[in-house]
Amino acid sequence: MSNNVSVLDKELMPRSQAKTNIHKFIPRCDIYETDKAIVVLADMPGVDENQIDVTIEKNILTIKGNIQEPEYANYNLIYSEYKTGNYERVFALSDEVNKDEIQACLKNGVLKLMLPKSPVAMARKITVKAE
Amino acid sequence: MLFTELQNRFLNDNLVASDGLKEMQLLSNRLSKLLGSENSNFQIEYPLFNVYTNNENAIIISEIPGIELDDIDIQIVHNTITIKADKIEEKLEANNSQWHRRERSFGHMTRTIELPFEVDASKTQAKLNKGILVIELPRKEEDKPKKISVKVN
Repeated sequence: MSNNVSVLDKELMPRSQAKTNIHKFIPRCDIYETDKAIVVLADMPGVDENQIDVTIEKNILTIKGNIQEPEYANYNLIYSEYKTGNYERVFALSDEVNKDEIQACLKNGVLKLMLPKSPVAMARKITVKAE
Repeated sequence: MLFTELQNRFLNDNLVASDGLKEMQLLSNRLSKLLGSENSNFQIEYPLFNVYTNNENAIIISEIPGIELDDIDIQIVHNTITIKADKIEEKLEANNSQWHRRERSFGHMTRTIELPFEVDASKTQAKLNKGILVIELPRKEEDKPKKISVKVN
């Protein structure tokens, strides 16, 4: 009987959930704006640089990072305060970003994204001259 | 320029509920707000640890993104390990820059952890890779369990 229930459970579960048991975390982000660019800093410890996926579609910025679960064979986890998992966060940008010149670098587990503003967005500032 | 976050279900109270402890704090904060007391006694101490052991070694792992190796200080006394770290605040470069969002924490952290056995401080190794600190602590030779063979007379 219990077997039947678990089979049913699996069938009801969406396929994406059934496949992996890895946690998905929202990375903490700092965002600031300069004259020329938007800078995003995201805490993503444990992520390798080739496991980071940054995409901009229209004005939706998606940051994804996958980690490799460390394995400590022959060890017992005796005390645990945090869990590990992949990272994902989605932002909507209000202005146009120059998609071709986006720079991303990873240092000590912090992702730094430089999103240069497009000329259209920068030209918005209107200087008023006195006659 | 504006930044809007999509799917920010978990970002209430400016806290990212990325694990059980943080969720607990969030809950506790809300409870204390409900009960009228502003200061909650439930505080998380950072950095957070995961500790692995076997009969011969212990491994302490901590996620400390954005911290340089020079800003970490590890002290070992018998079976007590103290870790101090400084996370330096990101400063804005130009005057006309402005913050849109500040969620990452910074400042000084101190944590002390007690292991179930004494460790050999001279053989301890600490590595920092991709924002994760891994400290390998071998158990002291005289502290290791000894096998006693039983003979039948």
